[in-house]
Amino acid sequence: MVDTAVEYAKPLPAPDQDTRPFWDACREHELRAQQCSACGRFRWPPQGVCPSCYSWNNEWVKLPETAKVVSFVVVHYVSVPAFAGDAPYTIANITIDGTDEHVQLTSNVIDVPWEEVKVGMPVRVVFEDVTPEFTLPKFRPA
Amino acid sequence: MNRYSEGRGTRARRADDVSGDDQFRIPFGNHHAAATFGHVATAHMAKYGTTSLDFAHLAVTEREHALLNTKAMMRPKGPITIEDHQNSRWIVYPFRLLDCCQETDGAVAMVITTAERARDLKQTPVHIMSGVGGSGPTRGLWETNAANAAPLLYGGAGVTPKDVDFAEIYDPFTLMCLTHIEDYGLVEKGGVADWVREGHNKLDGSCPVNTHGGLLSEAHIHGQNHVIEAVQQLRPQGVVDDLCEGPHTYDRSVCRQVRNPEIGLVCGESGGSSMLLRRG
Repeated sequence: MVDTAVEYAKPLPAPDQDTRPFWDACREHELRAQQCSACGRFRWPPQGVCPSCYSWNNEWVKLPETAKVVSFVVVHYVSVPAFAGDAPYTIANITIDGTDEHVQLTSNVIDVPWEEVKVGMPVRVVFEDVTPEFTLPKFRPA
Repeated sequence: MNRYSEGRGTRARRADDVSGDDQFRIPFGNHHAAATFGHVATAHMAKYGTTSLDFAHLAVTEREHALLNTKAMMRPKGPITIEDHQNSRWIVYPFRLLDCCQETDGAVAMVITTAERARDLKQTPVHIMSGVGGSGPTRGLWETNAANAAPLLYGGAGVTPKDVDFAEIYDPFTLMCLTHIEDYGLVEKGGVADWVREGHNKLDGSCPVNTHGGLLSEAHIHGQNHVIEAVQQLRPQGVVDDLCEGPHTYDRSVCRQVRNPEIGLVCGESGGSSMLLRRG
């Protein structure tokens, strides 16, 4: 839990009608994504229409907590001051298990030295309550 | 009113909060261009075994080319070595300082007209054989849209990658240039690391790449400077801003003119735009 007495200085999401359910679920410490009610494909990022069958119908379903690293970078040179204290920090593209690789989040891999992060590495979600309103899903080695 | 016009979130937005797709990246600190393209690099490295040392060979060669270019921003800095590259600091892993292009204030101008009108002009024209714009999904992060563009580009011109005599390829970061070289079919996918180590991208190689020094060592004019270089290489008089006095000698201590090129490839970011140019 971040000390909320100090104002959280990093950028936060500005959810819209499509993305609000994702962030609400994170606040409940759950990963959720839209699954098409017509063809079963997962949609990411959240969107009105299925990219496969063009159906509008969908259901927000709970996802597994496990995932894999598809790519990563490690920020050493920080261009946004609010992140200065974190460097070097790791950002990965992470595909959530059980979604046919259609749900691919960008997030931080934490609790592991950056030199040990690898493509293909299994990870598990952890939820950081950064403000009373927002929780960011981050990942640590599984 | 429908569900898309009911307005955004109810919370008062702070100036640096982010909407759209950025809401899934920026809160995690994924701001920098090196971070955006670094994902392509680590995916390519994992799939094909490409290394930072491979990146170094490209950076060193582009600097060699820039040293023969009087307008290259990095010419006054002199040559770089593989060791210089490997010892340069991390900006965003897997990119070191010498993997990153410059930011440059500058401009270029081009005159584009019909082949018929060009016949009356003072300069011998360079012809556009084909051009492709737009982008779509690729097979993975390790591949750029150039893979989608290549068949259209070569098909439109009626040539194959083997017909390309030199290429001026968008190189915001070393690996992006390397993966474009593969995705445009100048070398088989996964083969570019050996290709640059063998020097095929040098001025006397099988397909010189970024003969002006590229974004890395000439300047970042959004890749438009790549078009200027390609046109110069294809004109009868050749490049005018190398160190040759009089006719081109192909002495690589002064001359950066490619030997007798017929066809050049130019491309923009991630292969979102590309052209094949032919000598007039």
